[in-house]
Amino acid sequence: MFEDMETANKRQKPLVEIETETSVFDFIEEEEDRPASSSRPTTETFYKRRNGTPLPSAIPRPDWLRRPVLKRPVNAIQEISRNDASRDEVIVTASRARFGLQHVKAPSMRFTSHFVEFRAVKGFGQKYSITWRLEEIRSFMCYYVFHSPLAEEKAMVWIDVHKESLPCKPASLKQFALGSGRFQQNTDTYVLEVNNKDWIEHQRTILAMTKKYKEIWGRCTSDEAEIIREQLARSPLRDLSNNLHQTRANYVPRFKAEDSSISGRISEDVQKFEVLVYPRDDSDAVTVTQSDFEMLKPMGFLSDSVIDFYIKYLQGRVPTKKQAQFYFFNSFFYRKLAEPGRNSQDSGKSPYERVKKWTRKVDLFDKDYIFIPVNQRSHWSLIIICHLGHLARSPEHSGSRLATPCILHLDSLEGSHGDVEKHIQRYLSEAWMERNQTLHLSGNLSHEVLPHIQFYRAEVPQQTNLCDCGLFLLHYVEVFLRASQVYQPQRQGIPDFLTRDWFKTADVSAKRRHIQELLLQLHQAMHKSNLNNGTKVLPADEALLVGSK
Amino acid sequence: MAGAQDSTNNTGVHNEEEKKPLDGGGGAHINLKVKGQDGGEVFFRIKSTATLKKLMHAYCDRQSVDPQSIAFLFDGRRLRAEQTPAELDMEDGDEIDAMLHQTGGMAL
Repeated sequence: MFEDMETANKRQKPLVEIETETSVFDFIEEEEDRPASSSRPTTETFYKRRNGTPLPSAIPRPDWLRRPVLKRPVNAIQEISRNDASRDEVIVTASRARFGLQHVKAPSMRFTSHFVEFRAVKGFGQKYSITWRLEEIRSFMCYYVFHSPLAEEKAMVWIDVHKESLPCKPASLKQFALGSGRFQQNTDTYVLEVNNKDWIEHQRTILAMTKKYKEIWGRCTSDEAEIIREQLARSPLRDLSNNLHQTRANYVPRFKAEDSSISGRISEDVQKFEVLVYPRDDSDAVTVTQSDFEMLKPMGFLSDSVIDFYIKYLQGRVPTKKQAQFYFFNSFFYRKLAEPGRNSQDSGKSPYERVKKWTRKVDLFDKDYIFIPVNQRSHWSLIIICHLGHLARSPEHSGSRLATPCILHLDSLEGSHGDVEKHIQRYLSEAWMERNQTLHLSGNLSHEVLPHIQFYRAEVPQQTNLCDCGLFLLHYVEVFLRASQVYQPQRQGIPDFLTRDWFKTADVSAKRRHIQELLLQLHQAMHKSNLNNGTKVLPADEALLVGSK
Repeated sequence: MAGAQDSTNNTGVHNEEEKKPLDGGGGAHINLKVKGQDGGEVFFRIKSTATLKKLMHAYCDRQSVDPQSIAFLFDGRRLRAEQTPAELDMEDGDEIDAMLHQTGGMAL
């Protein structure tokens, strides 16, 4: 890998401007053989040189700054950082990194309550470090994403530092990515390959360190994230230049050498898979196409077809006598409910009217669990409406104790998805009114208001990357279905099996491959049965499904 | 029947062309409305025993979208090109939703 970086450095050398006078990067260039004496430049002199003003004395100079920067062998860096780790500083070491257009070795980033420092070794053994005081930093843009199919291991972190002290307006990431040049004036971009688990912890510690970090630690806007995602997906470290034309022309999804077996297998599988209609002979069957299948590759975003396919598959595995307890909406329901077209006549209609026909053959108020996949701004999450059936039952009639209905939101990346609550609650109350009216219930009852149904954000396992939310959704459904079969509903509150460590996140990562294998298996079976014209040869798995349908 | 639809059309996509039968021959024809996510509506007249393939392709051509990127739904059920209005119990004036496929991976 280092060899690659060497050559990349050589190739990109002419592009690199960071060492010129106009550069915004300031380096402490240190000579290998300089004795560790008091004359050695410190951060203080460095600031003097750069800004003409000494470093404010209020900022304590920690011990580590007096140590020769990167004086030790490269391999020792990890060692140092581990020893130094304490509560008031966080050192993020990366296995590879790139900043600006430069690839570097032995990178590490140190966050303390007063400043941030980036240290690394450049291509030809030169060392440098760059430090920003927190006051100088306008924002960090952090975006991280798995780039390896061995998803638990590594994450890419994209950090953008917009420096406040510079006179010109900070360029947006978008401008940067589109190569509009001005980014160099005030934005430094770092891409670090770090151990994913560590990074999550680091980020938590950094944010807890001082208030200032919380203020500057920004999330990307959707446009920006999309651009970064594309660039990182393309080639995490090598081709991240600001020349979009080049990278676009050369776009070949790349895997690391050790993953070549995986990528090879996947592309082989993609070729084998054409199209699957599932379940066969169902008027509401889901069609999974080759491109849907391909999205199951590492880092791919799951499409609605895969979501609906797998939910249908799970639905088929519910024992026949329990089928009636559950209802599964498809992935378009929420969109239709929540997002009327701008110039549509629908916008005048109530949300319930828009989807009224979807449930004309179902009584939702007869169900124990209703599942609604939600897609909002390219993010999948899951709504489960629990025990709605208990509303319409009278205690004497059912014999068993009744649970209070509730709405659960299972979101693998908790954030502000506030309008889900509003939409679902409004939908339910209108559905309730409608139902009572059509049942010709007498006078008052027909306008009976739905009792308030509590909305909960369930504490569930969280995704550790930005590409797996669809898989989390499916895993929530799968594990919930399993758990709900043995679960005795409580009178109040949410099911007690919903916890942060409900399941291992590794199970979720394994799901990509699992679903692909399942699709291939069903695809083969369909192919065979087509050939045999009627005499179906099914794998055990599907035979079970057909049986329970 | 077609006259009644004129009044409901406010998006300008409706014209005489759409009312032309998509499939020749006799048999019962029904009028179907395809509604896009932006609220635009296109009307089709189709033989109830003909597959929906032509309707889907005609709609996508008209909207200049890739058929792969659109999901057609009828009362919440996903439609496939080889299905016919008759087997789906579609009636005259029924509405089909044309919705863009969705993907998801990250929160923004």
